[in-house]
Amino acid sequence: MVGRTPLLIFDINQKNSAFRDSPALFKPGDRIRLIPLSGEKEYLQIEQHVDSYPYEIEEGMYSENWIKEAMSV
Amino acid sequence: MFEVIHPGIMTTVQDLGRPGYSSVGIPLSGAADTFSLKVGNLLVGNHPGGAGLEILLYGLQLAALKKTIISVTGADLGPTLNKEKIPMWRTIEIEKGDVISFPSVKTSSLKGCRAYLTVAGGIDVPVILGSKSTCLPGNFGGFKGRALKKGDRIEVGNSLLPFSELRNRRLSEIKRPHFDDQWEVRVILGPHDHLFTNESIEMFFSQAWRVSYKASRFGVRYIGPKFNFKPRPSHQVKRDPKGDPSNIPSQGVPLGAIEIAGGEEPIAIGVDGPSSTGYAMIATIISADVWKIGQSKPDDLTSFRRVEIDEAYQILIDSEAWIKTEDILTQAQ
Repeated sequence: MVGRTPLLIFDINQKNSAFRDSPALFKPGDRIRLIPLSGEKEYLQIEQHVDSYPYEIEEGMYSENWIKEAMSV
Repeated sequence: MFEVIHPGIMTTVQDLGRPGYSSVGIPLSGAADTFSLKVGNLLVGNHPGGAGLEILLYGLQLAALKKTIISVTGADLGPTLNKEKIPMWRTIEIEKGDVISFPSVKTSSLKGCRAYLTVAGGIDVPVILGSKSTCLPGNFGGFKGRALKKGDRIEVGNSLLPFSELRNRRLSEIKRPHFDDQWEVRVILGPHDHLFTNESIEMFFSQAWRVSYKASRFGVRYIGPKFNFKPRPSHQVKRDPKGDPSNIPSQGVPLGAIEIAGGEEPIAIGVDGPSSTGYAMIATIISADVWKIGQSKPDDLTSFRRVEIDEAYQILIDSEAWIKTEDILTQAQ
């Protein structure tokens, strides 16, 4: 394992508005950005308030350029 | 309200399930025999999709903590009320302190294996993703996401009708389903019949299949001869040169699909089954007959009969129109 997230990616209780339409956060075709946390303190803080965490979700258009960019990073 | 004295082999809270979440891996769940649950609900004045208890075989013992009205439908597992036999498919008045039991029986003498206990007002558990049913593979829904345990206290909702209107209600005998230890299950062919030899497809329909001990809400496995496959399609050989001929690119599984993993022991997918499979599905049980795999128990015999899809729709329409209000009789026998 290279890392882990305090965020929920699956929630049958659908408490956070990110899960309003589905208990699964991700849909096929979604792009996911991973951001490093400063340490355990921040991790635990996010975990504690996970039901009100403001997920940053943007609608986007699929493009081959995006794949090329992602592959070259 | 009830208290569980003994939970039995497996007792779960079930309604008509949680459709619409296959794409995120959540099974349908709900009653394995939806007809029996629906009738049980109608008898006690609930909506047909109210939550009841699904009882497997024997061992359940419940103490009533309040006066209420129940009914027991589905397979006749020999339930008793204070040691007196309970008649099936009719309402029973329960007083505080009464004990409902499903005593130990010789399972080989039973016809069917699941009974449904419904109660006026329904079993009161939280609604999760639109359903009160227990999702055993996901440990959520129903009563705390699990089968009942000793000491559990089961809450009951408010009855929709006054108890005086629910007394002596029963389903007329000609409308009751036939439970047996030999089943004829109707299927439509496919989606992967083209991968099997014609002889194996003929064999599938002519054989009496014995239900294996591997039978659960997840699926039912059958014992019988092996299947043969046509030469593997070139695209499959290219994709996976050493693959088994029963392998397919993984895809969605409909409820009632019959997959032939490794060419032997067909598996009929049940209400708690997987949402995808990598094995060829030779046939799919029609919706109106899926309850039969929910009532099949080890050593039962099953034959599969082919129908066309138009006929399958008509059978479903007829089965849903089978119970009308006038079939719930109110006069005592």
